Order: sequence, then structure tokens, then C-alpha cells
Amino acid sequence: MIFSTRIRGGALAKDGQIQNLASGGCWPLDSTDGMHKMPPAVPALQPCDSAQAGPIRHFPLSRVVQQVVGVALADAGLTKEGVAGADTGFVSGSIYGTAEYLDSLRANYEERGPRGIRPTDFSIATQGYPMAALSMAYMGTGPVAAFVNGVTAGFEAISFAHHVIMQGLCKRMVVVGLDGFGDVTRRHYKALTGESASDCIVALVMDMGPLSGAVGEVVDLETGFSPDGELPQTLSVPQALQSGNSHTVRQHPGAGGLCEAFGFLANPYTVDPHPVALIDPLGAYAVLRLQSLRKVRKMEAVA
Amino acid sequence: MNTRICITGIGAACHRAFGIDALWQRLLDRVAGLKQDAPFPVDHFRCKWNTICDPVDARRKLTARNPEMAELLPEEAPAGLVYGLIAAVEAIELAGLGQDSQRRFGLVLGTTSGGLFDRFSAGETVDPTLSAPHSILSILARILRLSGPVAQISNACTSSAAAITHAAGMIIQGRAEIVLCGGADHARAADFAGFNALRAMSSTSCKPFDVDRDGMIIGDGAAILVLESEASALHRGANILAVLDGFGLSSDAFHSTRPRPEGLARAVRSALKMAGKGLDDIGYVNCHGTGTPHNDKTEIAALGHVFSGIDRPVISSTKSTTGHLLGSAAALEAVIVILALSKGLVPQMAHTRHTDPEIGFDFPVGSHRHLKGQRALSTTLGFGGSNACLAFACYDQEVDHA
Repeated sequence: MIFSTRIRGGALAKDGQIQNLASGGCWPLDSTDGMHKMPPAVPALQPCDSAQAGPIRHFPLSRVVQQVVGVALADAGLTKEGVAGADTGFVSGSIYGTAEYLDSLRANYEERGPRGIRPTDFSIATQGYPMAALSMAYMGTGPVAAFVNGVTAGFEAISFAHHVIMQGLCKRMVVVGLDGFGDVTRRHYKALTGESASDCIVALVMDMGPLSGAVGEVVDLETGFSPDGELPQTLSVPQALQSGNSHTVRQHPGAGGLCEAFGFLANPYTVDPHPVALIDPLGAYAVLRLQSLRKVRKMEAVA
Repeated sequence: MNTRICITGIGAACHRAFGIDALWQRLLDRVAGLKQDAPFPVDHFRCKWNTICDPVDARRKLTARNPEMAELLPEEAPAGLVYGLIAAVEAIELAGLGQDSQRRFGLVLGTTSGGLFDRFSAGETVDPTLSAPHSILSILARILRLSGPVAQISNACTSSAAAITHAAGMIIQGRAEIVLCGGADHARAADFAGFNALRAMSSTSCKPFDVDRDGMIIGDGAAILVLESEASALHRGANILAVLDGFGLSSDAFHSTRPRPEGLARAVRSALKMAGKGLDDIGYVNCHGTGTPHNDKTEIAALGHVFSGIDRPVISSTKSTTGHLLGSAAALEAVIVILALSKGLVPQMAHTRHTDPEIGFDFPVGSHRHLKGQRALSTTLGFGGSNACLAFACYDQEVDHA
């Protein structure tokens, strides 16, 4: 399929650092407040502390997602007024999403019975809540969705973003890849794959428009499922899949694909167009092709 | 939409209704079959009534009808997978795809937590491939031998409406010609406790839009639709049940549990704009209609804005019969809308007796209603302020979509 959706900017938080895409800045992360807390030096759109109905409730993952998205929106050159309204939507891709927080509700219920679950906790314990909290914090009233289908979820989120923009449901989508591990999810991932995993959050701002205002372009996406565990030979880039998931994807299974995409777009010296290949341990696979527009512009400048 | 999206198969599994014929009959008979027991203890809850499926009975019925499933279905298969298989097998058969061995079909599921991860985190010795958040999706694709794109959306109550929207996107983008989509969900004790804590559950029965409504009834199950490009459906000679005319998704950006009419109205208007036919010929709106005072009031206000000053459609909520199927609710209600369009009938609501006459919509109370018109909508609201609307129409081969 042909996409041609542009990426205006983004942000990546992992390994104790936060980095933005278009501006190319990188800062250390402060690991307080449960997970990470942005240093004040990072240029970011400041979220609203409260929606019209009152304070926005958070758990650690939803709070850090909000901070990373603030950096991505600023990186894309957007103002708070520009983000607010029906033109902006939010979509995430993850392998476990909010499962760790959801599981804390189960544990509370097991321990204390019905009184162990407070109404406010239950209402924010859905997989879609981090994106809903973003819509409240930045007042974007476009579509909101959360993909939780393993390693390829981030790429499905890109496809969803393209779809809703093309159908006129909004003008831009913030695509978020998120991995927020805790004891239970880390243990499950180890049992599932034998690998260790760590936190990573990446946000890309996507829209349609002249490529001159973009850092990159999503060119196409090829996806499928292998019922027998064998990869089809009809793929245009089978070799990208044959080598298996990269270290980044194995370490950050939910956000890894978008993290790789970010890494490619952030590096002006890579070869275009670049395929990012993913294989989910339960059978899905995906190959996303990206074009770095930074390199194109650089070549144009030389010419 | 430039690409016409056809529905060529539907399937459903919910309490006392494994299959679309049983579901339709239950709606006509207004039999909710409410019960006060569940696969988990409910004695200590304030509200106990529910329409949660019996997973053992569901598995027995699935394997009796499809003996090959007994071998394919893992022993520890989660209940949501069993419900999903019942609905998917029915939808595939109705679409005439049962004999197709080259299944380059996509699959998009909407679900809430599904109860999968609970089993792992509670310390049960469960195969991790059967307890990942996307296990139902993957095992369903493997058993049905699907090789197209797969995805799963977890967006609280709007999950399966978003899944149907994404499935349409897969076809429009050319990623697949045929996509199975819908929802599969399994209610957990924590869900029951959560809705009880929110005081959103009824202590008697679900009475949507009734002046005396006092909450919802929790259920679970699955519903699957086969979406297909018109070119593919015509090429196969498939029986086209309906057309997905448009869809709308929006968020309120307001509150996690207090919906606002403006958000839903925007989703409805987006779906209608996409369909490109205005409000003409819309005969029915199947609402989210949970039966909570706030939800129903919000929906009526939203629909009142959209259908202002014109001949208004019949509106109802079928949750009075089926219960609230969590992430599968929107898919089940999409199936019901398609059945209503094909039969030209809106079933009478169970339990609802007295609606506010000043609301200005016709509710099917006291008798079934004839569905006037060729188009119908399904609306859904979810936690976090997400809204969805799906627009369906009877199939007309002569329509020029160019």
C-alpha cells in the first residue's frame, strides 16, 4: 500500500534520555515521579493540568506519555492553540499498554474484594486512557485509539492515523509507541520470548501536506500474519524480516518499531527509503518503509 | 468514501444467543435472561444481575457444531477466544468463505482487558502465548488460518467500533480485500467490581431511556462482521447484507466518565458527511443506551442536535436484552443494525416502559416498529470521552459512488 503521510516532528524517551526529532536536541531524563520527569530545559507544549471537568487523573505511564507528546508537538512547530480542537487526534501502539496498572486493580480486588476498586481508578484503567488523557491535556478532540496487538501495534497505529486523516476525521494524528514495564509485564515478556525489556516512549506527529515542512515521510506498509510461523516469500523486502527483530525492538517490543523509525529519521546519513521490519512472537509481521526528507533537503542544498 | 465497503457476513455470541438467528429471536421476544450468578463469585456485590456467558457451555456448543475445533482449541483457551470463534465461524459461513483455503483476510478485534493477562499475573500456570493481551487475536487468526493484516484495539466501550473503522481502512488502503472485524470480550470480576464502584449498574434490569432507569447490566460475548470491497464481493457473487456508509470517531477532551453531547454529535456528523447523503432515509439509530441516567441523557441531547427540525428516526438500545458487552458492544449492535435493516424491523425494547414524551424521538416501547428508510446508525460512547458512530445502508448496486 502507498501511504505518503508526512512526519512533522517527534520525541523519544528511553535509556535515561529524551530526544526530539526535527530540532535534534537531546537531554538527560530525571527518573523521579515513578518513571521519568522531563527536565525543564526541554522545549515542550505545556499540557493543561485540568480539563474543563476538573483535574486530569494520571498514573505514571499516562503522565510520562503526556510529557513526551508535549515535546513532540513543540518539535513539530505546533502551538497549544493549533493543537486544540477537532483537527488533532491521538493513537498509541503497545504490546502491554496499561496492563501493569490494570493488574494492580486485579490485585487490589483479590486482596480487598469490591472495596479494593475505587471508581476513579477503574475509569482510568483502560488501555485507551493515556490517549484520552492526552486529548484532555491538549484539548484535541479528534479520534482517540489504542492498539494493543504486540510488536506490530505501532505500525497499525500509523496506518490508523493515515486512514482517519484521509477520511477527513482530523488533520493530524500524534502516534505514540509506548512500553511501560513493571514486574508482572516484564516477567510475562521474559516467559513469552526469553528476552528482557525496558521502558520506551516515542511520539511522532503525522499529517498531510507539503513535504517541505516535514522531517520524513511514511511511504508504505506491508503487514500480514503467519499461521504456520513461516514468512511468505511474496514480501517486497523478505530479507528485512529474515534477520529477525533488531536489538531495539527486542528490548522495547511495543515502541521498538516506532523507535527504529525515529532513529532512522533522526540520522541524516542513512540510506533511503528505509525498511523497518517487525516480527511478533505470536505470528504477525510488518515492514514499514520510510523516507527521510532531511537527506533530500540536504542534497537539494548541495545541488 | 471512494471505496464501497460491503458487509457479507455476520456472527454473534452472547448470553443465551449463540448465533444471529437466536440473537434476533431473543430481541423479538425481549428475553434478557438476567441471572445472578457468573463465572466468578458475585454475592458480595451491590448489584448482581448480569448476562455473562457460561464459557463451558459456549465451548461445548462450539465443538459440537464444529468438531474440528476440539483439537484446534487449546485446553486453556480463554473464554473470549471461544466466543470470538463462534461468531467468526458463523460470519465466515454466511459470507460463503468457508471453503476458501487461501485466506488472505485481515482480522481486527476490539476488546477491553479480556481477562487474559489476569490469569498470568494471578500466578496461574498459563502458557504465556495464551495470556498476552493480544492472544485472542493471534490464536483466532491461527485457527482460522488467516494470513492478512491483524490488529487489536482496546478503547473501552468504543473498541469494536474503532476496530470496524480500522478494518474499513485496511480495505480502503488496499491492505486486504476481505477483513473480519468486531469484538470479543470476557467479563472479569474486576470489571464487575469497577462498574459497581461507579454505581453504574442496575439493581433490577437495564431500562434504557426509561424515566426510571437506574443503570446497566454487564454481559460479554463476541460479534464479528465480514467487511469486503464491493469489487471482491461482486467478483465472488457474495450475498451483500449491507454497506458500511460512513464512520465517525471523536473525543470529548472533558472527563473520563462524564460524556458530553457535543463529542458524540461530532462523530455522528462525521459519519453522515462521509456517507454523503445527509439525514435522508435514516430510519433507525441503535444507541449505546447503557441505561445509566447520564449516558442516555447525553445521547438524546447529541441526537437531538443532529436530527433537529426534521422527521426523526426510531431510536432504541438493545442492551436491555443483551446486556453491555464491554468492548464487543459496538460490534454486536452493528450486527443488530444490519439485521434490522434486512428485516425492516426495530425490535421493541425489553424493560423500558415510560420514556419522557418531551424527548421527541420515537422509542420502540409497547410494540416493534417498522424500519422506514434504507439507512441506520449505531452510536457508542466510552470511558475517557471517546465517541463513535457507524453508518450502515441497505445495498443498492445501482448507486454511483464516483
